[in-house]
Amino acid sequence: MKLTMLYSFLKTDIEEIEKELSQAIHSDTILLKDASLHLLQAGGKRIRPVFVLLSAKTGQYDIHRVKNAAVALELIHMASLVHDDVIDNADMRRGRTTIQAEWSNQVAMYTGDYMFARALNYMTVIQDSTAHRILSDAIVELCIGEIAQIQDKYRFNQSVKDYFRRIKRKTALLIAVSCQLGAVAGEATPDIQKKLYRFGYYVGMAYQITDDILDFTSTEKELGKPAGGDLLQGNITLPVFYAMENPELSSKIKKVHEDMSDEDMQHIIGEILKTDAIKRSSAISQRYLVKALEQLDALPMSKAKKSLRDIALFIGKRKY
Amino acid sequence: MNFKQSERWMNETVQHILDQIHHPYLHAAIGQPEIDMDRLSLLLLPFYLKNKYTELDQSYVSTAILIQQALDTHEKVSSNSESHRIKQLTVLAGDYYSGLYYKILSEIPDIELIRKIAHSIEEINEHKIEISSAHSLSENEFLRSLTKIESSIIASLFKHLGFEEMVPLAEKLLLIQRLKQEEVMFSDGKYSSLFDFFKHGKNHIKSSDYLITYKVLLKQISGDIEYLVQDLKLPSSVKNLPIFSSFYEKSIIYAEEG
Repeated sequence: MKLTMLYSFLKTDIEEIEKELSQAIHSDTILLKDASLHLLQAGGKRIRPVFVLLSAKTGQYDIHRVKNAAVALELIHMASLVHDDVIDNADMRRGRTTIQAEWSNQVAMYTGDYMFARALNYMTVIQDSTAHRILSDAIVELCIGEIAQIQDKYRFNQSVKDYFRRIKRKTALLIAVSCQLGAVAGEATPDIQKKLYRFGYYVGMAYQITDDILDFTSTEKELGKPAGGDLLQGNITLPVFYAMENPELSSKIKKVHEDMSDEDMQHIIGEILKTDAIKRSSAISQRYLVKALEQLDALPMSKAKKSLRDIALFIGKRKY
Repeated sequence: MNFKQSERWMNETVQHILDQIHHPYLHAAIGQPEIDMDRLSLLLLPFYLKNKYTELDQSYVSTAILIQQALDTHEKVSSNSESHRIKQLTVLAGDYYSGLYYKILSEIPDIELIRKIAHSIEEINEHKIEISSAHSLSENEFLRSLTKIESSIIASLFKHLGFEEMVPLAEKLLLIQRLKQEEVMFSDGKYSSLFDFFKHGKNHIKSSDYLITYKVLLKQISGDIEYLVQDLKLPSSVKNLPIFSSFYEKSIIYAEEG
């Protein structure tokens, strides 16, 4: 089943968001418009806008109001992708050349900054200052998380707490905030706003852990990059923490470096896969998903509630 | 205007900004951000003139500096940065400062200014792209782009706070500051968008005429600034502010040369 099937009743509104995104990145400066469009046309799951819309359905849903938060969050996500590609020196994203590869680092930096500014412009249609405090806090935390990721590279003596804090900032917060802002824009009760924030947070944690597992279990074709790439780049993820409980394997993992040969890397991945690291990581991801689903219990039954639940379950089962 | 007080406000604001952006790891790796004191003194000018600078005013001024810091930090990202890690952290530092300015304005809260500033940042990035491929621009268009890049944020803030009359002066002062920076880069053998424009722009200029063209430009803008200072009836004590002191020093040099 495709993810989009899980919220098919939002089809018209998602199309509206897509249209709005195209308008949002319009610029009279042709190069800037081309670069932004290049990324937009590469598509994406638009999962953040979906969470905004579904969460808004728990309150007084008005697409004209809610769409501003949905568009803003997707633009912030897109801006961060453009800058991430500069950070990672990436040539390809979603099967297309990246902006930095197609044009230059400089054009990518300007495009990312432009998109971020467009996002804030959309957000200001929402006059509720709480919404702005929520989003701005999340953006700052997101940056701190990304800086920590670089700081923690190849730091094999870090604690698992560092990992959870990092993925919270890096992934879970923006999904949590997408749900919360949807609820705020829909003027849902404070209790529902809180529950949806937690739902998004737990889903985001499960999503990132699953992503980190797939980095070891998927093929290069599925990932679009070599398996074990995270570890090769020095990112210590949950499966690695569990694998390092074996002293012999731990000493091998500690020798991983950027220029390690493919053969040596494949050997280490094979060793990690032989341990229970993947199984235990999946169990943690599942625990987060259960917690996410528990948050939805208090919500009245609706199509939106069902979709939120189905998306959470889909994320838990995804294979790539 | 009390010069001692102006210095105190400036130091307090610098400390406030440094406290906001404090990040030991980041700054150990890429260095502590340098606050542009010329720009800061310009931002403080209206407050000196009305002799009042509240905590809220300090938040506004800090925001404008943070945004500039964010944009300037991203300007340092190029394909030939010192190392990959430095490049990565430079990107993230700029993003971090951007997040912080949004956070400060959200906490005030001033949603209208968030909108105006966001619009200015859009405009700045459009003009940055324009001048990066400026070959089809006229001199006026090129200078207009440079003016927007340098002063759009301050102009938005001044207008928002009711200091609209200060905008033309701010634009000229920041333009002249940028032109001087361009000349320094050119003299150091680095890429300069201004001198690249002289070379490739619509009105192609001979390399032997670069410096004279630059000096003529500077004289024109200096004249505009002198006029605006008189028109605004600014007290002579403003000459002590960093943004003016460097301007008047240069004016004297050019007067002597001329």
